[in-house]
Amino acid sequence: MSKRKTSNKLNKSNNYLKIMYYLFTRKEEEKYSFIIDQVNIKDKDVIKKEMLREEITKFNNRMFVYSEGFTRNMASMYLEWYFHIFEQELSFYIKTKVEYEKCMYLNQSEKAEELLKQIEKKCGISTWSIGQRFLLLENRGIEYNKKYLSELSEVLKPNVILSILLSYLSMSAEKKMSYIGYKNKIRDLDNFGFLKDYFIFKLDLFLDKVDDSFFTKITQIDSQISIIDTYESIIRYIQLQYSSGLEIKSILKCISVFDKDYRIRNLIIATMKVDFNYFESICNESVLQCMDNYTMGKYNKVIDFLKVYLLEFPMDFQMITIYIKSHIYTNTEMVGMSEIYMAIYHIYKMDEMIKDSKDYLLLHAKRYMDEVSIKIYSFIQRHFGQKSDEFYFRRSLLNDYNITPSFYLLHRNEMEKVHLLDFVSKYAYNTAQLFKYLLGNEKELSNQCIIQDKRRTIFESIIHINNLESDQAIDKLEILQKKISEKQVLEFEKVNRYLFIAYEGNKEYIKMLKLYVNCFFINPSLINRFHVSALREKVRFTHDAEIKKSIEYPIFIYLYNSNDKNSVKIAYLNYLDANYIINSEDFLKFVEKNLDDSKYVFFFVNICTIEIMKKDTRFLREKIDIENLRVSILRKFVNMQLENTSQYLEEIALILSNKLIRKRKMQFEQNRIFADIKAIRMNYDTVFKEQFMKYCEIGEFGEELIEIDYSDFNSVSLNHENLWTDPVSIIKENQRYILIKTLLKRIQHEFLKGDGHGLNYYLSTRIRHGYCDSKLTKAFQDVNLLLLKEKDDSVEYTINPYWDRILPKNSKYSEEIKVSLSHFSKKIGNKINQVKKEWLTIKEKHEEKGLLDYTFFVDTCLELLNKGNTDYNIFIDWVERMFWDYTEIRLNEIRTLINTDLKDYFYQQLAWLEKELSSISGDNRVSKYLNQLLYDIKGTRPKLVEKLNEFSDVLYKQDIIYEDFDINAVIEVVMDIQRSINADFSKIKITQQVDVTEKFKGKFFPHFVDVLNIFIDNAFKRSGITRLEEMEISIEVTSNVDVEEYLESMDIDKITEENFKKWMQIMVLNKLHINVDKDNVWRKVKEILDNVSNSEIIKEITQKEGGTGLYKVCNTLKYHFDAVYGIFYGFQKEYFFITIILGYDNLIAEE
Amino acid sequence: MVILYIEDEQHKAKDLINFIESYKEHKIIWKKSYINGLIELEENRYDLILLDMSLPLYDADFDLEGLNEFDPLAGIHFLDEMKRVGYTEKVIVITAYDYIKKDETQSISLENLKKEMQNQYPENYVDGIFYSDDSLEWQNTLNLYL
Repeated sequence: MSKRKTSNKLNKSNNYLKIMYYLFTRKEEEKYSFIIDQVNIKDKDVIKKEMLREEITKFNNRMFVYSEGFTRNMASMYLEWYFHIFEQELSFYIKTKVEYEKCMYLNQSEKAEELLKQIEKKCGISTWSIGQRFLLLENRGIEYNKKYLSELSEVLKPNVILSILLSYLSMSAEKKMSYIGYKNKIRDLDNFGFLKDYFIFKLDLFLDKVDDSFFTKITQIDSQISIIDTYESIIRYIQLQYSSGLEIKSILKCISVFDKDYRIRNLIIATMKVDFNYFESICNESVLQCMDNYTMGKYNKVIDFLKVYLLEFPMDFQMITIYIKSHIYTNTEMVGMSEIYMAIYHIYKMDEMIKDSKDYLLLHAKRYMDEVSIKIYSFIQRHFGQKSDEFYFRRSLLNDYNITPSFYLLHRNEMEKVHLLDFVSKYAYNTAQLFKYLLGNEKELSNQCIIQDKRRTIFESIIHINNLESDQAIDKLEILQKKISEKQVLEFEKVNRYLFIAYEGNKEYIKMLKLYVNCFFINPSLINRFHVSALREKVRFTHDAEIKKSIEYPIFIYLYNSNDKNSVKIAYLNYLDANYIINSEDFLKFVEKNLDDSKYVFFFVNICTIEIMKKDTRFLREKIDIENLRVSILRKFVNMQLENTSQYLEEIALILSNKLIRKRKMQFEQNRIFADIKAIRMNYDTVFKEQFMKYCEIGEFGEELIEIDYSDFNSVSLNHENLWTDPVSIIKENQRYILIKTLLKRIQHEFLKGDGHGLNYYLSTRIRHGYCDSKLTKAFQDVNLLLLKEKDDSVEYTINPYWDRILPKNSKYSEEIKVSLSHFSKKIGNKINQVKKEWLTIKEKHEEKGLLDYTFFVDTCLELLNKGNTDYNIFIDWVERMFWDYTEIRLNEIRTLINTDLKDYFYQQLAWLEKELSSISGDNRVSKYLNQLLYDIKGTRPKLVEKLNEFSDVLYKQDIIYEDFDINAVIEVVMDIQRSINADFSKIKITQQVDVTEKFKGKFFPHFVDVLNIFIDNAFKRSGITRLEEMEISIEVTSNVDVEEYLESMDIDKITEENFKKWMQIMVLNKLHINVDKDNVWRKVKEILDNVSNSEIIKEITQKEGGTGLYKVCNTLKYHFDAVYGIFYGFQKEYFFITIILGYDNLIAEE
Repeated sequence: MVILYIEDEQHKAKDLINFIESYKEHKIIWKKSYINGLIELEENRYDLILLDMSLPLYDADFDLEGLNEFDPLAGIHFLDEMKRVGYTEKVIVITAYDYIKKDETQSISLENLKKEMQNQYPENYVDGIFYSDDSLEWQNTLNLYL
């Protein structure tokens, strides 16, 4: 581990730095061209030498120069000059990179590695080449990737830019870090001040907008890193600008010399007038002919050609998609194809693999970060984005390896579009005709152009739609819809998608709704490409009775965005109103009537939830228990034996047990500290879990791997010499440590400030705004000690209606009283502001203010973390508990301050006011008021204490607190739960024996219920008995335990004479059917209990054989009970028993 | 004028009610939660509704208290419901927040939210007033509508 103190001074002995400083800090834009022309050969050589070094250590002996004054024009001139210096090297790079990428896609790793070395040798090391090496190494295994990162970190002197880039490039190459996980990690880069945009641009290939400032930033920074990084960044920047519809000609000029790069070529085509000779020299005739065959529907020819072509050009994504669609149209088998091909295939087929395929493609795109990745991302956006976006389409075309007829869409000028198609028609006549037809330049489509009638009809319909002839389009498409089977998925989807658009043209909203929902019920993926936001706007607040009455309406709103509960509620209410359902009786009849219709079942299950129905006044007016109503619906489904019966039963059990447990809840209404951790976990569990699993995995192959610890970097700032100041200390740390630390930081951030659910949100809405002021001023206001401001933004407190009315006018004493009260009000107001802004404020970073100080939370967690745990759920539960414990300590400090410092301050101000008022001599007219004021001040103090107490009392976590309880209460609730789930439960012979009489702390109540309930559930399941009359269950909870007998199998270290004197045995014993395989029962229980600390094995066992309950029992005992325990099991004749031996001293309630 | 006032903060409510009751001709009905406000609106007609932006779903003593939740945007959701049903009552939103969390990712200033409410609920929305208990400005603004 090393620490570095960064020098902020420009190192005058470093020639390279001096030259860059000179180039970037010029202020004379108009003379800039002259200035760079004056750079002499010697200085150019210095730059060349520095840039072309192939060792990572080239970054070690210099800092980066950055000037805010470096303009866009200067950057363009500079780049032209810079690229000119490196023309030869970049030409080599362009040529070799294509070869390199071919090797990557053909899995020729050794050759790829060799080409990469050649590129580095010729063009110098770059973050691009390092990223590629991470990728190559990761393909061999994550340990190789991480070892390389460690080696680089070892020799690299820490600096912000390289540390971040290397860490993230290594992450992006990882196979197990998903696209979503990586995107989330990019959010951690918010702290880097002016470098944030740079990092995001460099590391997020899928950025969809850039502003002008990015250009000068990447120009300056990347051109000090490497020529390849500069080149790649500038191309990407220009592509993004062009895709967003912005002007690029002036910037393109600085790089257009490299038109051997197909990306530059594409940009030139997009912006220049069509030149047939130029096209002739760059087009691939066979590819165009192949596309024409595809247009004509000669799919076998397409397949034959591409089978060979794609071996030579494996990175031509456009042709891959055509190849796969041709396979689908010809219904030929896709055998032995790569994962990328198969993923594209599943997405086109919309089969059950579609979600995994999408994830796979995004993972590939995240890992490779190349042109194919951009095309993949655009492909995914178009297939899943639910919005038509020219941006993605253009971006994709700009990365096409070959010129295709679709390039006409890159042009903005209509004439140029046609000219381009004129050229294309030489090799792809039919495709050009088709596109001209779609452009409106051809009147008809010939039979030869598109062989199949169906496809031709679709194109004709598109023209009708474009010409606003919706009726004709609808007529054609409705006929076609009936002719095409759902199995012809490509055509079926297209027909329905265009029919949807045609309906929209005719404002036939009800037909749109029905079509959309019908398609969803045929195949949920069919609706992925429907553009529905306009329809949603139209119907959200509809007053159209027909729409409101249709079942498709609420389902559509739900499918549009199931998280938008408010809109779902509006549609649900409209639907029930329109169908004259005025009370719960009507509602249940309605459910009964429609049980066999899948759309209605969908509506009842997904939309008529407790969350929605609890806001429905029709049920609340009749005081219906919403939870019971939901259970009634679910029971109807259970009785129908629908396919998801077990899911409905689980929900019933959950609702009922929550209800029963809640009965024992004690409500502390005043507690206002809250963070919706459940919602946060739901949103981020995948991302948190992925990083946690990586942390576990990395532990397996080496603790010694290091990395620069960027987790504590704060904002980076520029110094007066336009050099930036790196964070004061940058430390190299163990990679595993950095992983868990950054994960904990992220969790902490989400718990505190996450998306409308974090602690800060509730602090703001429930305490800081309104409540804090009113509570803290109440005692003063009651006796009119506070003046008010005239306006919200006034500084002075001048008005009090009471005194303004009562005090004699034109009296200097009245004025003096008001001046004193005004000063007093100001001091009180300022103090309350301090309480809000400095006390009840979260401090997440050292430079922030706030008494809710979390700057040591992560360190505390790191110190107490159980490093051996590999179970994510246990980890995140533990972090949550730590979070609340830590919060409670901070709150306690604030509560103490309120009752000491704040009270003292208020007392001092009251004393001051008392003194001020006493010093006013007064006259007959005002003395009585002065006396009243002085009297009221005395009476204020006890009231003030009371209000301060009340205020500090709200600063507790809003939590569910249960009454203290005894074991009989637990058994009673468990029996109620079982009875409410199983109507025949009373037929079972149940015996109970309880001799533990102590009361336990309320917080353990739900856990005791959970444990016993699971034991009873399991007893049912394993008994093998179907006739409940034959079932026998015995529950024994006794303190008469010979603990010595069990101690050997328990956590002996925890047990001392002092802490565990009280022991109980909780045993559930049940009769087994004669046919039950006892060995199997015993083996299953043993397998779970033996592997309880290994979540992966447990997952496998429980998925295969069930038994998640027993696993949950173990975790409940381990993490929710502050106790020593052991679980034992076995047989007594035909009975199976499971027993917990529990040291319960710490569970007992205080007297 | 008969006014429906929906507000959960005791102190703010009393402050406002005292102010309004100083006009003898106005009658004010106070409800403390989203649902109780809504049920009241379903049963009676009002000349004006004064609406807090953040409210609990139910009153604290409601039977379904176990399902209660605090909705920071209850005011918006109340206006949504008025729009859905077609209620014509005029609404003034009175809030102590100068910034309001609009959705999962963004906060919005009260001034901008006022513009949005004006666009979204032109039939009902009249004004948004920032309530501060150390200033008289809210009284002066509210005065214009009484």
